[in-house]
This record gives sequence, structure tokens and C-alpha cells, in this order.
Amino acid sequence: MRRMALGIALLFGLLAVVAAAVAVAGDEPGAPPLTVISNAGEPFNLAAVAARERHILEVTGAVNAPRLLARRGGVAFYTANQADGARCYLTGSARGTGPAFGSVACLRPLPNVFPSEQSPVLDASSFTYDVATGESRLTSLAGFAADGVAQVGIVDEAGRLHLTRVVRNVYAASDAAGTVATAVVGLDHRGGEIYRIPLAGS
Amino acid sequence: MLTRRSLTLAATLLAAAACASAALAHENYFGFDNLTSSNPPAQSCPGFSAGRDCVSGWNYWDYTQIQRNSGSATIGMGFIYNDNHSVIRYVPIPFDAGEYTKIWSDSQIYSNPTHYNKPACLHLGGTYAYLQCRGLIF
Repeated sequence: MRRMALGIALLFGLLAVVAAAVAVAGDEPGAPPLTVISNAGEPFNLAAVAARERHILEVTGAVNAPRLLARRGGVAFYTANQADGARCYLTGSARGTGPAFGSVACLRPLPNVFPSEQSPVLDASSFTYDVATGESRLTSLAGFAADGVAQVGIVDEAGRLHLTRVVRNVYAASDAAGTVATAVVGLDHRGGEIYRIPLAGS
Repeated sequence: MLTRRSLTLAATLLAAAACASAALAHENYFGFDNLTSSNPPAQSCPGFSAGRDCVSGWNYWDYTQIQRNSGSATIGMGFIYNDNHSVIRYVPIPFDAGEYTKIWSDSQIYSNPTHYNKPACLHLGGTYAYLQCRGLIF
């Protein structure tokens, strides 16, 4: 009987140590990772892309394995690779039948670049900076996010959040267009802030 | 003879390909240097305070581009369109090292842009970012 009690005590002790270790690591078992983009997208044929768009890919070097990840909120999201291994993330208008690229971000294959715990969001939102007021106003919200990011949005002057859901590793919204923004933030599935880009003018 | 002709043809094709992708104009208007709240100084981009820069002249610029190498400052990259000289329409550049390109006609940045513009980059917060800001015409 005493041996059984000792065993139970040891078991609880072991569980407590494991729980403490998990708490220290700051990682919830089963939580989606911040280092993964599960949406692999679908390949698209470069030969069928208009000359202007092909030129954008050639100039930026984003010519290998181009894929369409998703279309959302009028924005199309793509990935491609450069020959040196850099990973490129592209956005553009989703209105036409073919790609119409508007932005290209090619990240060096280094530790801690997107998608990573340090950089789980690759924001491609647009803002206006007005020299008269020093304010940044949102034009449109869009970008890429790792599996562990549930929502992305802006923080307004009063500290209120204007968030949109991340679906299939992308987000796009224009509900808060015209709002003065002081930061772009990303939240995990528990609502905790895991990413912030301050936008206040210097 | 055939080999020489083949080589000439290959060289011609390569030159044509190079011309097709080469920029008609390419201005590295800032850097490589640290973009901070005080560098570049005020009026580096006319009408704007310190920490903002833009190409030297209005033109039909196609791309605004940043090569970011290091630093943790928040920065932005965009265009000043000819219809409003006091506004920079920009995208925030993440902290990740890499090359960022924005096309002048992207409807995300401006629904009704004029092609006559100035590429610009700006410091938005934090200490510094070591980078180069560019404008390109093709």
C-alpha cells in the first residue's frame, strides 16, 4: 500500500516536471507551429503567364516552382523560388484570369526568416504616410502567415484591434481601410500576440 | 564554321535576352547605409522629414525596391504619386533579410495610380536597418 502511494506520488511529480518544462518552453503541446506553411498551393504554368508578369518574375528571379496558394479578398497569393534557394512570396490582383503581380518578397534562406517563431507573419499590407500628420492609414490588409497564426490585423490610435482571420496561410481584408494604424499584429490560436510591426512615423 | 555561326547566334540571343531584362533606368537612391530616424537628413526627399528618401526626379518609375541586409527597424517602401506629393503609399518591410519589390500599378497600394511617380523608402520605428533603396524603369 505504501509502495503504491509512493508510485503515485512519483508519477505526479514527473507530470509536474513535464508541465513546468512545457511552460518554460512557452509551447503548447498540439499548438500549430509558427515555422510551417501547410498550404502548398497549386502549380501554374509560366508559359501561360502574360509577358509583363513573366518579366516581373524574371527581374526578381522568382522563376522556379511557381505556385498559387489562394485567392482571398480580391488578392491572389503565390510562392516561387530563386535559383540560389531564396523563397519568394508574391501578391497581386485576383480579378483577372491570370496572375497580375503587385509585390514580390524574396527572403534569403537564413535561420529565423519567415516562417519562423521570430517572424511568423509576412505582411504585404498597404498604407499611406502623410507628411502633414505623420500618420499611417491602412489602404488594404494582406499577407502570409504560418500555421500557428490565427488572426492578423492593425492596432488603431485608441489601441483597438481590427483583425481578420488567417485562412490557408493567407489573409486579406479592407474593412478597416482609412483607419490610422500604429502597428500590424499577429495573434495565435489562443489570442496571444506573437508578432508586431510598429508603424508610427518617426 | 557551323560552330562559329552557332556561337555568334548564341551570343546574339544572350545579348537580346540581357537587353530584355535590363533596366532602362536604375537609381540606388539610398545606401547601402543605415536607415534611421535621422538618416537621411530632412529634405533628402523634398518636403519630407529625416528618415525618408526618394529618387532624385519624377519619372515613369516601374518598380520600387529594397535590399534589406540587417537591423531591426521598421521600414516602409513605396511610391509618391504625382497626384499628391505629400503622401507616400507604402508597404511595411518585414525584419527578414531579403529583396522586396513593389510594382507601381499594384491596385493594393493605390486603386487609381498615375504612372508618373517617385519611389521612396521611409523609417517607421526602431533603431536602424542596413539596406539599399532603389527605383527601376524597364
